Amino acid sequence: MTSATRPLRFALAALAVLVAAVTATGSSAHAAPGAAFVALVPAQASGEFDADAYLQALDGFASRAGTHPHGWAVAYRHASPPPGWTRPFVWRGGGPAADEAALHPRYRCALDEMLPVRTAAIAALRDAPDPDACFPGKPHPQPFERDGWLFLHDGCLGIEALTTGIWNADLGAGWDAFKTNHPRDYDGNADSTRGNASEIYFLLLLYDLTLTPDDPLASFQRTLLRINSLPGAASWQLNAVLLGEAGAWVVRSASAQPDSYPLYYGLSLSGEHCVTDTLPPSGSGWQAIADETLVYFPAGGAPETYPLAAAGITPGQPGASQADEPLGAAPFLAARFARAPRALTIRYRLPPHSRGARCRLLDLQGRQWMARELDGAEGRLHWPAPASLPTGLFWVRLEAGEWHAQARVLHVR
Amino acid sequence: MVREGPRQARGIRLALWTLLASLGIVTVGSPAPAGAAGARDVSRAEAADHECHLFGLAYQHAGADTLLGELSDALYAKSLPQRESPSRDGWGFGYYLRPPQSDIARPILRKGGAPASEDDERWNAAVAEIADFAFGGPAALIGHVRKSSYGPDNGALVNPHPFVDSLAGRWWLFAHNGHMVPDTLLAWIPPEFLARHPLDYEPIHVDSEVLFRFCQYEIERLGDVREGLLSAFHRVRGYYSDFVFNICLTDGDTLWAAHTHNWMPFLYAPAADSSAWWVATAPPTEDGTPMEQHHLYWFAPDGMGSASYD
Repeated sequence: MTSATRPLRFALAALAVLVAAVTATGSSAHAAPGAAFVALVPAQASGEFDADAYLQALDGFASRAGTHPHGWAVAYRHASPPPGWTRPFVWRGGGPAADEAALHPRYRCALDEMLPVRTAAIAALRDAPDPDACFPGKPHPQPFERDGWLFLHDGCLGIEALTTGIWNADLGAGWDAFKTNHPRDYDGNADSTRGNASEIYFLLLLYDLTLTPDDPLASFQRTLLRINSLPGAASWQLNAVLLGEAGAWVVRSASAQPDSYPLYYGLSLSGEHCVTDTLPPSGSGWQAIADETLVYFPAGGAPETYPLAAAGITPGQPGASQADEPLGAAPFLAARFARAPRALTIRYRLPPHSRGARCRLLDLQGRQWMARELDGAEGRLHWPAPASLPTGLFWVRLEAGEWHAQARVLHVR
Repeated sequence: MVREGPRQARGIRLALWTLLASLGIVTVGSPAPAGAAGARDVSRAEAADHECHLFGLAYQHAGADTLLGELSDALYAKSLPQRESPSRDGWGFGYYLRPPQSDIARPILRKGGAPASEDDERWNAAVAEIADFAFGGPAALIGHVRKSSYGPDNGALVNPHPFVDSLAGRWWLFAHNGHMVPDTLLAWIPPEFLARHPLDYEPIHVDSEVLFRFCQYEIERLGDVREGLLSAFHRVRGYYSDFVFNICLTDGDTLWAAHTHNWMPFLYAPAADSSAWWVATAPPTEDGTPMEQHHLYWFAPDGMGSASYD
């Protein structure tokens, strides 16, 4: 390679990744980013829905890989596991579970393994809800598996609010010990604007389950109340499936976009409750789960429905103000674009005795798109994006004398 | 073919690191690097800090679970924060159920994204699970702790190692220590092969996964594991002088290991009763034999061998 072609190659490579990132973001910007899933739990009766065929058919569940191309997972409990085996079996992969011609080869193997032997299962595809916080191009992190539980969240959450308001908050004496034994797999390297927010949702629920192991309903209620008290919660969705040995707890909590995050359940030919986020084309007798409702599907039993907004449930420690507490004395910069309305949100703290601070938005070529002077040692900015700002990656650069900080942000028109 | 010299290679690495930085790095309080914003260049010295550690174990029967404990303890120690350059970007094990479960032919993976030394509960559960379910017959297994060099999320994700994929009717595990440029390797693999063996990490590649695919491709092309690996490593080694790697690969019966690494020794030794072989960058004892540079080794309970790919 000559020195003359090197910049061209760099530019092409950069463009390829930029396009991929933007494409990933673009595809996740459809109505309902999150999970596409089918959950199966043993029932007392059988129905008309052929879950096995639906899961295996290219034009069945796999067709949703078009809108959920960011990985797949198959997790299940085995009818005859090795003696002494207690946890679920889990397969995960990156990329779409199918294209127009065929299932992904390892996804197909995962289904072939799971379908004949499962007693309960989850098949999930991913449309990464926040590519800025957790990169899409890797095996599907969900369902998470901890302590014998499988947990799948479908919807969007704010990573910074959950990191500062939940993960880094003081939830009582047991919280630190719980976190010591349950570190996050996707922690954004301790950057509060990065990581997987669904994982924090799961770990918070799991923590509450350790306090009241016999009452998942109350744990869900407290967990949702706590998350819904965070700043920004009005635009989030908390639909979730918790699968354990005794059955599955399915939550529908999507008041922000109830039409985009439905949940249904029906009976399969092989005698299972089938829970899914999209009504399959075949079968009948499907029932919609009402918003702000939990449905418990006991293994081998009839579903039980509970309202999520129960009286007498309190979130306990801490209060909702935790998300607004300072992050500590160190200077920092946190920035991200809100999708609607399109605006750059910045939180910052300057080093002591800083003067003349300035914040700029630059594209990767160094062109300046926005700039303004800052007048406080710390604070927040809500900065409407100019109409001409294109889709792409940008740097937010904060400068105060010799000190500077910068953060990468993704803007989607 | 025009080979990439050190300067060009440095440029390519700079470009790749720029892309990674643009997708993941927030720099605070430090001068902007030369070149593109947030770019990082992986110099040879810095690459030495980007070291994963790994081990492989090929065994005949349950007695080898003692070795599993020693090997995993040594691996765990590499994730402790007091080390100068700890491997703290996750951990992973891959093993085969023994006795075999007729409906589960593929290997079982146990992985985490936190440092092993901060994930004791799951780490210990994983080692206990392997001891309980992997030693009911001859097999092989792999362990790995990561220090991320290439890949998404700046390493803040579940350890991608060991990788798993099928080839020629068998399921394979692969783990790697070292670094190389994934785009160079990708260009050597036909798209048709990648369509049949898709990458899990796209478009930000993990170099080790791409190397695994190249090894698979060469095995399939030549129709022989040993010949395929010798061919693959010969090409990698010959193409680019500062590609370095220590590798474990197994199909569950035989453990293959390759060593092209100037500063990270890769050792091997038999069990005391000769019923097992281990290979490790973090050896559990001091009686291991260092592998020769640019050599492929293979280990099975009934013996071992080696060949040069230089």
